[in-house]
Amino acid sequence: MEPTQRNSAQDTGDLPPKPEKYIWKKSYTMVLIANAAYILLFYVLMNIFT
Amino acid sequence: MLTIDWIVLIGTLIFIVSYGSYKTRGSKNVQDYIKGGDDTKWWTIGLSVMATQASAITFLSTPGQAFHDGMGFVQFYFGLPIAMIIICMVFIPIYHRLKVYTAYEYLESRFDQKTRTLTAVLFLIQRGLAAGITIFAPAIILSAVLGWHLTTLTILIGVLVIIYTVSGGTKAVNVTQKQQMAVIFIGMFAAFFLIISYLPDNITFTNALEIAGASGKLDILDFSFDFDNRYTFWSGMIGGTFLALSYFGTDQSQVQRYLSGKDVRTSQMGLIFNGLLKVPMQFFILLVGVMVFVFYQFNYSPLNFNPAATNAVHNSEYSAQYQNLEEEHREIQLQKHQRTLQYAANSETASEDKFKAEMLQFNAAEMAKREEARNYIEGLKKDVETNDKDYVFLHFILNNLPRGLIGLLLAVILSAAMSSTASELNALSTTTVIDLYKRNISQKPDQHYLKASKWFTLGWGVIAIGFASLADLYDNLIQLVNIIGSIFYGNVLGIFLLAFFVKYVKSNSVFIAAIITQVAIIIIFKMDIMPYLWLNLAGCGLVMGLALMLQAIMQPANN
Repeated sequence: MEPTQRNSAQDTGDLPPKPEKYIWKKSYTMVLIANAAYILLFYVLMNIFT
Repeated sequence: MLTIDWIVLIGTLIFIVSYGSYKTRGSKNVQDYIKGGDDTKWWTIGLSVMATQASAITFLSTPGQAFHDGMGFVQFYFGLPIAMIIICMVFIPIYHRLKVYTAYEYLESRFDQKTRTLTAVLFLIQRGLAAGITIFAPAIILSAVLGWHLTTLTILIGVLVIIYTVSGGTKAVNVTQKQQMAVIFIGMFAAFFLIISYLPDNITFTNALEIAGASGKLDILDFSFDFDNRYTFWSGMIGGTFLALSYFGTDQSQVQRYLSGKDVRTSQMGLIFNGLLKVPMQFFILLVGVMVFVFYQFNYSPLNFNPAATNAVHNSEYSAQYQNLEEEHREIQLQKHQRTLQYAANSETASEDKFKAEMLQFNAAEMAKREEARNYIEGLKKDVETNDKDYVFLHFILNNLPRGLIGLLLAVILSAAMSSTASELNALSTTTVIDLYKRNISQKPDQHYLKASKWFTLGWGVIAIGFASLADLYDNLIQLVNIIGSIFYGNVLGIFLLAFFVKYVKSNSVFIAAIITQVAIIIIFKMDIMPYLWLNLAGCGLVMGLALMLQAIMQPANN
């Protein structure tokens, strides 16, 4: 699709369509858990070897 | 370098460039050229996002950072996964819904053209400078160590990238980045396992970690609230989140990578991939640096890893004093080697605390000698870099790896440089064409903009080579790139957060607030008021706060 040429927007609060609801997905939980696990591993390593 | 190294290096580079150019030749239209035909797979996006961020600076500087300062730098990336999630939930759906080519296109629909233009220009300045550094950084280091001509090297890296980026656009960048990441992973794993194999026979990997820990290199987490400490858990989680949010959410060099996915889910999965792998990847690169440190507990390391600095001082009036210093340094290292071997032989019965105390003493004595060496180098009053963090890993590679692998590791460094530069040129061209050129010139056929995209890619490539030729080495390179980002990113992120979440604020308020904020942040940086990681938060908060205030004052005028 061609990028549309936009004219200067009227400054009247002409906003883009309302965004979709913010949906939380399982993959986000996986990312948080995985990174928490990494940090925990670093903490354990640090305590074992220092 | 031997013939086999040249064969591996040149062969790898030629393969990447020619394969990338051939596979992606013949873009049909602007959408094909800029968005890669909207059919990039999620794992290609993930690799592309990682390759764009991990430039040569990552592989040159990060191991050196770990060698000198330990693994605390990994905390810098703790905020990244949080930022990935926020971008997946908020930014990507909006970008896809509006079918934008650039992040800044969205700002015109939300505010007005001048805000879009201002933000695009801020990006072009910041990324244009960074593109120059991305080329210059590996060039200066390789030139210093291998004796290759600096300008020739700078032009060579730039030209190689320009060839396939101009030819194939986003698709070429994606295709080549997959190969570059493969080269990078193979090279770094090979280096890691070789370092372990080079340790004395009675030193296991566990022993190596104990030695590193005793020397303070495994102080990975710092939960203190020390504002002057650059890398703590808190600066990484908070400041790092804002930096990553700015970089991945609003910097076109990253936005363009994931907008090449065919739908929202594909783009999101690419970022989730990055969110899962980034921290372990950086941990691994730092660990390589720590292993290099352990290696040098059993082998002699130079007083300063920068050969240009060492040569300069040897050819000066300080030569005799410097040689004495080198002798003293070797003596300390010899004592340390013997003590470390002794500990490893008796590790089950030896006192850990005593060993740690002794290692800290040895390391402090070594640091003092290195500091004295730096003073001599500074005393030369020549344009010679005293900070040698960026040369540690390269010195190790050139003096210790087997033939063939040296060529591979050099290919790793150049691949990383090329992958980042390609994304940057691609993005600089796209923003110039879509946000400035096309937006302000009367409507032309699609083929005109396709040609313009290629010409602008070439133009930005030439500008980046030009910046690289004029650049000066400053502190540690990976920090320089992040410092430049921190000066501009906070402001841009603040504009986007206002756009997404604060409907009350209108364009004039944002525009004026952004200009004031940018000037203020530059002044704050120059006055060194806060560590650079906090500049993102400061810039973001300042532009949002100012915009809200101005909107309250200007409300009648805007209405």
